[in-house]
Amino acid sequence: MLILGAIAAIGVEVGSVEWKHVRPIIEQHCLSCHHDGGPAPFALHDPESVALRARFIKEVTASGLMPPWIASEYGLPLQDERGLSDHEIGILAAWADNAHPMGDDLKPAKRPPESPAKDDVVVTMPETWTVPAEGKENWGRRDRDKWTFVLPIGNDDAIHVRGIQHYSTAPQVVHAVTYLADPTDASQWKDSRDDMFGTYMTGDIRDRPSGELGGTGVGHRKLRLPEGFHWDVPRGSDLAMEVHYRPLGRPLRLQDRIAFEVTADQNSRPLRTLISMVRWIDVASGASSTVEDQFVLEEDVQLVGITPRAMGTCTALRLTASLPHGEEVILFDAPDWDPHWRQTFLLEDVYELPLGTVIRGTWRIVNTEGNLRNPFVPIERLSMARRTGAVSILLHVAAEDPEADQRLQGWHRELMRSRMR
Amino acid sequence: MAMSCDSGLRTRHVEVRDTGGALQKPLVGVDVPFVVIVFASPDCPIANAIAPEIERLHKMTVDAGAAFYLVHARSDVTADTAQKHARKFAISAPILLDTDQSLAKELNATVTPEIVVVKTDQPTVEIIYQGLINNLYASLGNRRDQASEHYAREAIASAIVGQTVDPAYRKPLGCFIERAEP
Repeated sequence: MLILGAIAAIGVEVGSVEWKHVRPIIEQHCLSCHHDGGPAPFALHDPESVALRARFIKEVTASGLMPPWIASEYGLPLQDERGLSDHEIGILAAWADNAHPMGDDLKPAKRPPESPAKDDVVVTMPETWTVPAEGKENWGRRDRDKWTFVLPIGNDDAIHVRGIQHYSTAPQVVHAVTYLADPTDASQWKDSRDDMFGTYMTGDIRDRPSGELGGTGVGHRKLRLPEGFHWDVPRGSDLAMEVHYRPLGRPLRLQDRIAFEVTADQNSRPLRTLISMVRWIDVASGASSTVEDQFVLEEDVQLVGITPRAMGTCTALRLTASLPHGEEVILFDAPDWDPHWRQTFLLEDVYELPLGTVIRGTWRIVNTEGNLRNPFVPIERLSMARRTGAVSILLHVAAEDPEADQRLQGWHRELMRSRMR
Repeated sequence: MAMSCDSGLRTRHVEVRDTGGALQKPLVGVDVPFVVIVFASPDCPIANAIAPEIERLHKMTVDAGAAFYLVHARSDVTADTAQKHARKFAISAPILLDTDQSLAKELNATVTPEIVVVKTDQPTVEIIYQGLINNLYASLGNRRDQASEHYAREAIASAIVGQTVDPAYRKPLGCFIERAEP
């Protein structure tokens, strides 16, 4: 009924759905990944290619698997939303069910034009790394199929980064990538502990989380902050890049480039990272648990973006704010969390969080076999700790002015220290 | 147990061309105790992710003196495409191009990857295992880092010693084999 009604709503009979009705959906929601040379395993330009997979497309769109978009509509509006409406899902289903009639209009689907990237500073992996053909266990069995690389930026002066674009030599295997600018030698030290290029360890540097500089995801390889905001990359930094990958069944060469768009705007304000997190979680085999964290903001800030971080044992997460005047706001909600589709989510509009706001993170941990994303088979006790949170949500925020920015950083350092105790 | 791969009489003489153009009868095992058929697709990420395992299964089968075929059941997959795909994914098994899907229909294969282990040392064709290769994928979109259950390996091991497989059918998971005719 849903499908019939939805299609009637756009004036098309179920039996009359043709390629011309399907094409705009493919263009808007699929081609950012499913283009030639893109991260998806096949392109969906030609009507024949789409028709060949019509039943598969129907199934993966009806189940919500595609296009991948883990944020629900209950949170704040986000940039570049990719979810399908019910009527779009209905059109794809009707087309598949009716043996995908083509009609007369056979124009191929075209990828919408993207705004050209401004690659002011480009850093490249200094060596190649081979993505293995198959997954393997990594250290600690906690985070698998990931590798952290250190890319020297070599910047003589601090740079203010407004945009980040990730160019991959193996886009089909690279999933979530998080970045951190490290002006110390800590990330180099981590990398130098063995002879391998890169390290199996995380991209965190002490209590600074990988993702401070944002994160890109599949089909979302470009981040561009709103005008007037930037990420700080201090002089002489390295870029620590934590790459989560999905082996493709054959080894692939990885030597990615990261391009920064630099802003010259003198009034641009730096983004700082606040972390809502649970440092240690302990869930028995076969058990479930909801873990929470909350803190009170001691400064007025503007929220620009959100980077959630949790593993596959987490099935849902949510970030809320209790505003000083009593209003409850869901800032971000992922009711069906899948770590492979994570990224930094930039808000459609900057959101004001006044001093006194209570920020609350909630994570649902399901350590059972029924959780199909649980990486541990057979199920075992889940006990893990991380300085930056076994589960966490990063809030990318800006203070009102330089003095408030100083206070914000000092307060957050103290908050992190207090969590260590 | 409801099985889509009901054992019994089948059209043993289904003919499919290999990448060299020669007609093969994969369900007629000449001097081999069993035949292993794996349905794949050059651009199915689920089948491709399992490519190293497919090659391991191929070696295991051949070492046991049995026959193994990788089958593309799509009209648009040419010999050249199939060979390039095999080279790319280091699969050395013989490849069949089931362009009219006669073999897929005969075996009721529905997705890629899907394995069929066929006993051929008797007058009738008997499917002793069909379906899932391993549990790398928990469901569509939910892939584990590694497989922990290896159903196809166990089925081939059983075929080698002449034992039955229980269950003989595990619903496969992957990309649909789109039927040539609706």
